[in-house]
Amino acid sequence: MIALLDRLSAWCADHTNPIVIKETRQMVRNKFVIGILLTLLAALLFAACAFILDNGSNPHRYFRGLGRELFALEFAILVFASALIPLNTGARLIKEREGDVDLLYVSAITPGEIIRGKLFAAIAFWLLMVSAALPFLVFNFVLRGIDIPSVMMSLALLFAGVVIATQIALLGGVFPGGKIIKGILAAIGAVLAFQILGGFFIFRHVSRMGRSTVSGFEWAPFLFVCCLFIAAAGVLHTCAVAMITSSQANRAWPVRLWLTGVWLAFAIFGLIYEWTTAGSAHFFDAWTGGSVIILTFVFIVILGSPPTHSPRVRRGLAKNSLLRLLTFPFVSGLVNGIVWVGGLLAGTLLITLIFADISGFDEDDIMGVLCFFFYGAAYGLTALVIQRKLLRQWIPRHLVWLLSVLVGIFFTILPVIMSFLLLGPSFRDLIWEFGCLPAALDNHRGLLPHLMGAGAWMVIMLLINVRYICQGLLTFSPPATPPPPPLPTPETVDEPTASQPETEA
Amino acid sequence: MRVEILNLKKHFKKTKAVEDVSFSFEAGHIFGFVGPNGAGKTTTMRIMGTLMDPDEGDVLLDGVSAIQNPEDARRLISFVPDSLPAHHDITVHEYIEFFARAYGLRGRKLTTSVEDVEEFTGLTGMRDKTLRALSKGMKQRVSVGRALVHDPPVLLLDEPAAGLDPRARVELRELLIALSEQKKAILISSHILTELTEICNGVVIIEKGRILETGSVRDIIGRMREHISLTIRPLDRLDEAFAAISTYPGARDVRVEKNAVTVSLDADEEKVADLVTYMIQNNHRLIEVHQETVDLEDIFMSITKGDVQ
Repeated sequence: MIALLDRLSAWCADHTNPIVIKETRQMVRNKFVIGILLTLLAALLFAACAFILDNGSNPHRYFRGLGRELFALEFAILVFASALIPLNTGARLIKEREGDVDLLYVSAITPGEIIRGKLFAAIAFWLLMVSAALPFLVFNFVLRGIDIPSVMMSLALLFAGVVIATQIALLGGVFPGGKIIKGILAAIGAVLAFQILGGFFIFRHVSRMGRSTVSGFEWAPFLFVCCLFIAAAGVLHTCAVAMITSSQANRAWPVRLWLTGVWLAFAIFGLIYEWTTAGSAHFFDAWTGGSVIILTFVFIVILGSPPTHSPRVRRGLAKNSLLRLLTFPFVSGLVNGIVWVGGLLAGTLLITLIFADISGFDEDDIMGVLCFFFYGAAYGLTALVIQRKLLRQWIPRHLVWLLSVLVGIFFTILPVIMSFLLLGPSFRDLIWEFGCLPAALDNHRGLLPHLMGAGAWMVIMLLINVRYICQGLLTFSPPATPPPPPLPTPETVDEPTASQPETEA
Repeated sequence: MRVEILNLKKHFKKTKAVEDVSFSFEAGHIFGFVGPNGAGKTTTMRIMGTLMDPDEGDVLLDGVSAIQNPEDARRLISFVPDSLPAHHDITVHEYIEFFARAYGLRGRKLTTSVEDVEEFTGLTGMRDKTLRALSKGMKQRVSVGRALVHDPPVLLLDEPAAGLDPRARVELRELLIALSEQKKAILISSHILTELTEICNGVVIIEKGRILETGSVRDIIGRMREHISLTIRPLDRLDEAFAAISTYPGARDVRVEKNAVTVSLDADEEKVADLVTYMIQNNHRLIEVHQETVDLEDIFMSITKGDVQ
């Protein structure tokens, strides 16, 4: 039996991601991890004892569901402890990348395995926490007010939160930049994700605990949340993998494929859902709006891509012209990215117009989302001009997105400041609105001038950048293979000896 | 295994880190990669180790392109960077085993490979120590062990002797000679040129991204040597010996230094033999004839200008 278990254990080790094994080994030695687990146990024990001592003797509270209230308290402690997991994972990744991370690249391990390994190790850490907390959580069932499926559902939601937050922390950890920037991004991302997911889903869920958690269960929203989780986790995962893949490789490929798949899947899901609910759910509206907003941000990020294709990307291009044309939007490169965003944007608007009857998206709504994209693209392209013509020495190309944000902020607050200075602190209307996206979206009646103005601005900036952007069209072909040149190989080499032969006479 | 570096080029903005670098070496060779700081050694090695893509050129490992097929090339090549392992809370055995798994070794092969490498690098006795507890020399051994665990035919070592004490350097040198005897192709960059002279079959000298010299150490010494400096110590009659040598055809820079005569001759060992014969035939009793040796350091200093980009 023991031999069988040994063989099973060896088989598991052989089929497990090496990063998970390494991280788990490091985890069990890590004082921080052990400290968290012990503190969690102590906090749960203290909370349970204090709560029971305070309320246990009151039969009225007992029958109202003491277990549910204690569960909420213990669950909050577990949520707080779980928030440390993405922070720990992100910090460890940053620390490793400061050291000998290169060694992982020279091994046969893939960037995807590295990211997945880190994620699975974080999940293993979370399972350790849950195994410590589970007896306390399940004990609440005895105190009434909560059922076991509700406990499991809460843990499932927390699991989703941990996965997403860890993915964001990993993305922050592999983000190109200094240690401090990475650390800040990883921490903010992880905490924000936890705030959003934990705060919105989990605590709302806990407040309903014991009343309709499982009894009022509906499959459609549940499936939607699952799809949303998979989509978000996939986007974050592919982005993190792309970040640690060589910048010379075609790293846009998996990200764009995944995003296109998610875009299409949600369109189909939305159409079916709207069809069955006769357009009452407004899911399709959310898809159109969400797609345009996301594509706008993606467009701004893509503007930081290299305008030409690297030798490795070129070597990977299809020899067949038709196949190469079909894969054009999915290949790394500025012009390819712009074509991809343009294609998805056109597709979004086309699908929305075709299914206008069930989507409920009217002309104003379409103008609104288009205005959002035009302004976003105009900010981004203006930032690209500024970076190329004025700030090339100081701001690297991949930070054009940051410059775009600053341009957007500038055009948004400038009318407000000018109005304040010229009209006084009690001004009611802005002295001009052009360039100010919030003002445009707030003013539905005057959307058309904004749309035309932003469109013209975007086109002008596109024309200024057109030569830069179109460089990629010239390099989008497989390279011609030159014949290997003759090598200066030494005809003879010395024998390896402990000392060089002396030439003494 | 034949390693060919073909017209490698890598620019960082205006800096030409590597410019048209081509050379090759084979199994059983230890090739020294020499150049001043910023010459492009590490960039070339990182390209060879699939850590960086070149702007142009290719690296072929028995015909397998490290640029086009980095995944295949990684199984044939191993890179030991100048930085030491940063995983402090992991034991030597776990560290090497982790990389063995990362290279796809499983089951019995994994166990055997890790044990073999630990034995070869002398780490068996400290396999359960954490990396934090190791000296720099031992960490370097762990780095080499890590690089050898998947038995690659090509080994790239970037400044492996930097910061090591004399004993650790000798041990590393012996390790490298043992590896070359196992028919591994080794490229090693180092600033400690005397050590490279002792173990290298061939050498590549690079400066400002361009190769200045490549070939066997002896050939390069032969090519670079313009003259031979001799020190001749007679038992007696120093003045007469000085006069005889001064009048000898082809003798230059003749002077007396510490009871001996120093002289420069054209870089031809025949001429050295002729001079010694001439002195003996003229009844000069010689107790020492010493030819000044030229090593890699001299060549390096004479070829390179120490320019950085």
